[in-house]
Amino acid sequence: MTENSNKVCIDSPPEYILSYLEDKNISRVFAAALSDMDADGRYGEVWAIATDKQLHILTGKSELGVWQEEMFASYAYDEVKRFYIDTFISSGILVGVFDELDFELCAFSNGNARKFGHFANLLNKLKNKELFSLEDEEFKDEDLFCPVCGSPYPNRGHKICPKCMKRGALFKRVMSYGVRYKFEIMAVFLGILATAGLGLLRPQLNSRVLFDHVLNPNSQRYGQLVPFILSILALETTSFALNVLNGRIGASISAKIVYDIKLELFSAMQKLSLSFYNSKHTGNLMTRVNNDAQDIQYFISDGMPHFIMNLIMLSGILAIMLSFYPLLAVVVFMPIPLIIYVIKTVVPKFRKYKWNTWAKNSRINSIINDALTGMRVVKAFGREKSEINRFEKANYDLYRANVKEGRTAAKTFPMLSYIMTLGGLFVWGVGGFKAASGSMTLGVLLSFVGYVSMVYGPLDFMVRTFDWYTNCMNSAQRIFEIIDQKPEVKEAENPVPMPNIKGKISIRNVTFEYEPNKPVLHNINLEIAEGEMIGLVGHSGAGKSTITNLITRLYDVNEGDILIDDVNIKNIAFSDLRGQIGMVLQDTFLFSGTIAENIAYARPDATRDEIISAARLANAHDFIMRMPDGYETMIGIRKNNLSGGEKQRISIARAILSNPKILILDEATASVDTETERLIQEALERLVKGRTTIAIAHRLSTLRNADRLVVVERGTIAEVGTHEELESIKGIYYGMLKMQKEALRVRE
Amino acid sequence: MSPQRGFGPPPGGMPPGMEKPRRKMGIGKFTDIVYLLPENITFYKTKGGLIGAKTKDYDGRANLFRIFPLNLENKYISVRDKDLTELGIIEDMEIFPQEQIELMNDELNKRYFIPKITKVIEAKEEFGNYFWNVETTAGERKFSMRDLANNVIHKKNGAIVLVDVDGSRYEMEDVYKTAGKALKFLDIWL
Repeated sequence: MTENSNKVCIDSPPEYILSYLEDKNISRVFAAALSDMDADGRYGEVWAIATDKQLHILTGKSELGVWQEEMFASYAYDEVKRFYIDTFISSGILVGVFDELDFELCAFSNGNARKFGHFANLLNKLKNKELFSLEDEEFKDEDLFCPVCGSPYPNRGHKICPKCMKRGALFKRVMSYGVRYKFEIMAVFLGILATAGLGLLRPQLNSRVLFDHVLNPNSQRYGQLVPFILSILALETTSFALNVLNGRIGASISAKIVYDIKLELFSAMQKLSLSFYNSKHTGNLMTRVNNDAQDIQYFISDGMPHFIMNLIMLSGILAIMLSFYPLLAVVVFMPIPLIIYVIKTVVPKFRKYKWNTWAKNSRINSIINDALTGMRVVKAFGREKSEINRFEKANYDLYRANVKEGRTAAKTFPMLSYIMTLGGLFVWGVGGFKAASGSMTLGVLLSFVGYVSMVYGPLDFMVRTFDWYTNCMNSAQRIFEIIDQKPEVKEAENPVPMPNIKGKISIRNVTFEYEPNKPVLHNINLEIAEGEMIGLVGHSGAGKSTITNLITRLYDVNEGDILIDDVNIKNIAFSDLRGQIGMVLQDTFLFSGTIAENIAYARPDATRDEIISAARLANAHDFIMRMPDGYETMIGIRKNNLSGGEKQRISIARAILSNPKILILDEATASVDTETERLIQEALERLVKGRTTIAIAHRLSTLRNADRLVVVERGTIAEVGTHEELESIKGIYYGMLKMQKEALRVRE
Repeated sequence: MSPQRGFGPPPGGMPPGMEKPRRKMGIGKFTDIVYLLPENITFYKTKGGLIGAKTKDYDGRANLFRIFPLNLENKYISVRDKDLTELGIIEDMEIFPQEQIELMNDELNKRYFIPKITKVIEAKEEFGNYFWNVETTAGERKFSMRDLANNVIHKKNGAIVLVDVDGSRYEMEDVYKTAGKALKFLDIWL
């Protein structure tokens, strides 16, 4: 805690607000929050100003640097019991409780919810004359908008505005992956240059040299067919060899670059906190790793080299044409604006239709997938006909999309080749006239015709490259967004070494919220002795699992401290902390691999004997031995699906093998039958020996071995004691016990 | 009329052949819907500017939720007390007196604050993110969207709702009339 300083927390009021407050004789401002919405639900500027004694709400707007007041209200803390925020669908309100009556004090839009949640906390502290903590003073929420264009950042963890971002800078960053392969890239570039040069030579050779020299009786080289054919052969062979070489080097560079990007991206994702994965933006992470990296690969391996080659080709063709017959060159390039126009206007439309077809196709796929995987449900409810109808509708939509796409394609591509043919006709017309009048040789005319056919292809390609470029940049932006994301739970820079945790846990004044101002845990205090077994009980959503998430630092506490062996867990290295905490959860996740590999997941160096012992202790050995491949059974393939109870015992074996000092059992025996529960329970009893254990269970009977039971109720600890103690006080635990006994009786 | 209505036969009896319900569905208070009618609930504005409700057993701040918020704005309203425990459901707001409807609408419009876009001033796509500057019924607004696939909600009446990066929503009633420049990237999602 610090002394309340002169610093204004959260938002700094601008000059016009400060001078307005001065005019009103308002001083000692401790916190201020800017809202974007007034009480009538209109967007505007509203300031909530907290002084030492009062809250002031200022509604209005600034004109020429002067605050034009529309509304002004003040509330004295003495009259208010507490402040809180209420969040709705798109907005929220700051509420003050006056004599059991809630008063709406100020409204805000969703983007400001976190800020106003914190502001409400500060108001409560000011009201209770508590000091602000260092975290309070350091709270920052003002960087939500791009300072240049004023748009909200699309990703709050990555303060880069894609709208203002320079594409050049992004392109440079993508290309920086290529720098480490600069020699190979240089080789490809030289290869491309040579291939383009050879390409330009081709019409010269097979038109001009052939018709004007080899087949021209007036030429000195008349009839020299063999050297001519050999030259063509040499050109084609070199060109072929260069193409193969370029392709090989190019493929290896692009694969290496994608390898680097994927590795960097996946490593960055592993470092991110769990909250990132729970956020709404992560649904397409798989796509990011695979497709986005692929997009970049296509651009680097195909787009870039061909773009450069085509650019060289076009410039070369233009230069050659201009040097021979400038007039004819102009004629050739005349239809180009028309072609660019068609490509620019029709191609986006075509792409849109293609995208539409893709969307309709994936809709059909999801219907087929639903119907096939859910076949039992479809049949059980007799819904076959309605499934057919659903499919028919989607199928019809796909048919229409296909027709649209097909028709556009049928129109566009012939139109392009028609324009190109027209271009060719111009050359034939003008060139033919000149050839007939003798001012141009047949060879030059034919080489021009050859060049014409070489102009339009690269042109089309280059226009399309811009699409590839856009895709690649979009993908790159998404990838860098993750790579640059900072994890919320940060590891201490100089952690206290804790290679041998003993297992004492102290939870002190811990408050935690997943969403602003909605505490899931409120001022929790709990001391757990080394080797003690604690049973956490309470209704769903009471905050039991959250306590375990905080101990493992999957999330960081908002207030208070958690200590292990008297060291704050924020000062313990992740490897020391998490390496010595074992978890057995309700939903066991097994990775693809053998059973043995899954048991040894936390300790890959475990010996075979250790793996077998762990499985025996976990009551898993016998069912594993019934499988044809034993411990080498691959999980998830060839009908090797394990039941819930079997998976659970593998995860217990995994925990036994990792030999944790602290063990967390979160509903480890839920959703299994009684016999399996007995086996798991037996395994767990062996596992908890000598370890600090925190067990969460709805079935209270499974906690009979706990040293103490802790009842969590609406985010607070309501009761603590042994089973007998809690039964005798006839509180929440007693009520739960009674209800379960009754439920059991009904079942019997 | 009793406010309690279960899954019993409809008024006028069961249709022919279905006179006897095959199975009794009501298994206590969890399956019975409490329908609120003007005679058993009254709304009022609290001194604090919020909505209050008075029933036989409750008098205090009320929270109103739309059960089908996208397509039924004035029907199926879940009325909850200050702790969000459900007091009952209003099947159709229209049966309440006008002044009561206005009170409910004030509250619902606050909870479901979704301004309507009247004009698109700027709509730009950059790197798969969408940047909007729009005029709405609540004033001018700049907002950003991440992707359209997951953030465009279709209403049955043809309108769409855009969800921005903060989860705030904006409705576009007649997309083809309003969207302007945005149509070029919006129309494949329509």
